[in-house]
Amino acid sequence: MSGLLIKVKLFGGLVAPEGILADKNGEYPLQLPEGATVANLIELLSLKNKPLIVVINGIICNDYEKKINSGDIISFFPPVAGG
Amino acid sequence: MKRIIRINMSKGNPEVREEPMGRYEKLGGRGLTSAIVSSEVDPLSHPLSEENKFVIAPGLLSGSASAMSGRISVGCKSPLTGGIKESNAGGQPAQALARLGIGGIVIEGKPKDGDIYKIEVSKSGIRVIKDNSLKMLTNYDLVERLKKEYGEKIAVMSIGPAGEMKLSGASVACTDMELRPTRHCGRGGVGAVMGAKGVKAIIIDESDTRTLEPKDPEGFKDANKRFVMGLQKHPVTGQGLPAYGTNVLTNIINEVGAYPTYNFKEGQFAGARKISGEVEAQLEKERGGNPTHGCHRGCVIRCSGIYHDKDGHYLTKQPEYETVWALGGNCGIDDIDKIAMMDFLCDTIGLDTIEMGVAIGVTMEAGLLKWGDADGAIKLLNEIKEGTYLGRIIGNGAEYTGRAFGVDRVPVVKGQGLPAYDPRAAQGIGVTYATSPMGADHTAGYSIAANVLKSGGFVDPLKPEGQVELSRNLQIATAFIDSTGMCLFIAFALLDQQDTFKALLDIINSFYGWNMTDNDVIEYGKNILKMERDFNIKAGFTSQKDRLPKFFYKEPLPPHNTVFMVKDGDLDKFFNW
Repeated sequence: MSGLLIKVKLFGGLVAPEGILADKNGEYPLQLPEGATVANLIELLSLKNKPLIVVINGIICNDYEKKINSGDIISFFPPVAGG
Repeated sequence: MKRIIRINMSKGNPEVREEPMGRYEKLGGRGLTSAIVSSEVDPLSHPLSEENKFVIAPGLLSGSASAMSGRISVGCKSPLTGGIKESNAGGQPAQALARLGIGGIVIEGKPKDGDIYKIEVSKSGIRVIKDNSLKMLTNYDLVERLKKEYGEKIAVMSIGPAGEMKLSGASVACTDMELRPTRHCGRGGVGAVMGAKGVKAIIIDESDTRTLEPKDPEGFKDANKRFVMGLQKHPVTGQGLPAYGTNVLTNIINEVGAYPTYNFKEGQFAGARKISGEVEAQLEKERGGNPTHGCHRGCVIRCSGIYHDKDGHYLTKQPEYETVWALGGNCGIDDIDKIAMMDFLCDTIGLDTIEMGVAIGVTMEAGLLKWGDADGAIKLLNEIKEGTYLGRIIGNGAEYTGRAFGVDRVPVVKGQGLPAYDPRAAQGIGVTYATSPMGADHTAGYSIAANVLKSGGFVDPLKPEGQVELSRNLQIATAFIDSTGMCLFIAFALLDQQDTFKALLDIINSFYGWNMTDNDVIEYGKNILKMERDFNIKAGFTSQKDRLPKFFYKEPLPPHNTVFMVKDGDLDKFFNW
């Protein structure tokens, strides 16, 4: 199988567009073309123009042009806070 | 004109005096409690002795029509840390006391007879009444009793059995809009000091009072409108917090590997999703509770909630993020209903949920309970209520518990349990834990905002650079906000929206007729921190107290496998401004 296999997690009320299905853990296994960026993924998930916090493998992502790697776990949050 | 009420409990018949604000005129909330404690309490006194003072202060804007102004501060020398303490809560008492024209209540001395008292505060005056029939009542039972006697138009501040036993984990409960004792001045054992004064409950009746009038009503109205609009347009205060409450943090803190699990051994918890704010809110909707609820009159963020059990009956208020972490993930517990039960028990016994969760985590570290044993944890909390020797050990907090059971990994600073963010994966909050005069307190300088939540900029959480400056700026700003009576959650909007910060200043200036500037805010905050720091130095604190426990410097935290890297020398520069 070619392309990047990744896992997406959506939190805080974010929902995936129709046709993108969650696994039994509520996570979304996805296949992306080689060279796909975070911005591409945001577009695929219909989250463009929404304020977001993006976490890739536990690291906060500030560069949406960053290339995604196979095996990445990418979490999306709306702006949240508390404490 | 606001006034200070002084109550001397040492007299056979407690003596009540009223005096003008005097030199404390421009102070409210934390500013007032810390000023009184630092200038009137001997730093070397025993926290439970008659020399300590128990100070209650609504914020500068409490009692006004300003949104979000319902925080109340209590202050004293802390039995938990041995230093100065301010702990604040929401609920109704701040608004009620301020509407009665009360800037502060100072409870001094100590009764010699072991009797307990209730204090009635109303427009007709202050009465201190001996009432031993209230002895050892839990907070919920106490409030039910008081409702029968005083009706439902009251606000109550009270202690449960933990406060009467003078345990260092004891809180002061404040009733919410439904007259339930759910909002707590939790940290530092303030309930033990109230208990040492022999005061079980303060009943505040605001009948026949009115909202306080601003000096410039038009300017005030306009500023408050802009302020509310700013809070409503910000995605955190306008959407995230109302929808899911503070526990919306569980997933993000877990995802970034900063969620302390198994007594700060790991940074991620497999059961996090099961106890997240999203799950809590869903259960609250399904069971007839309420995920969007204000904890005090005038709150427009409404991050609190009401949690029902499986049968649809009220169990507790929506457990906060820190509570769910402390009594949940920190102990390996992933059952949200049992965590909610523990939240109820802490509220009714009158205990700090953070300190209890950290203490129970230490008992698990000691092998007294197995990780994840929710029923065992509930039993421990009930032992505190019963006053067993084991219960009293746990109720005195994490450090005391660690000593009792010979544990060397005890996550405390200045004797106070660390809250819900691991400083190895969010280095900025480690600076706050280490340097705050309050001991380990996330609210003192919430570096998580810039380390994780990207509010007020971004500072890489895994690197030491920039963390001291971040924490310093936040601690200064927080000391000011804690003095206004404003809920600290306004800070997310203030950090990101200059016009909302300006609106807050305009509210204060139009209310008091002041001309406070941005720089004045900074000076105000610095002065409070300096007073608090000076008190601690006189109490014997050295810079060695401004450190995290050693294991944070030595044990790498999975998944990032980092240690706390901010240098001691940099921590020591914290107060150089």
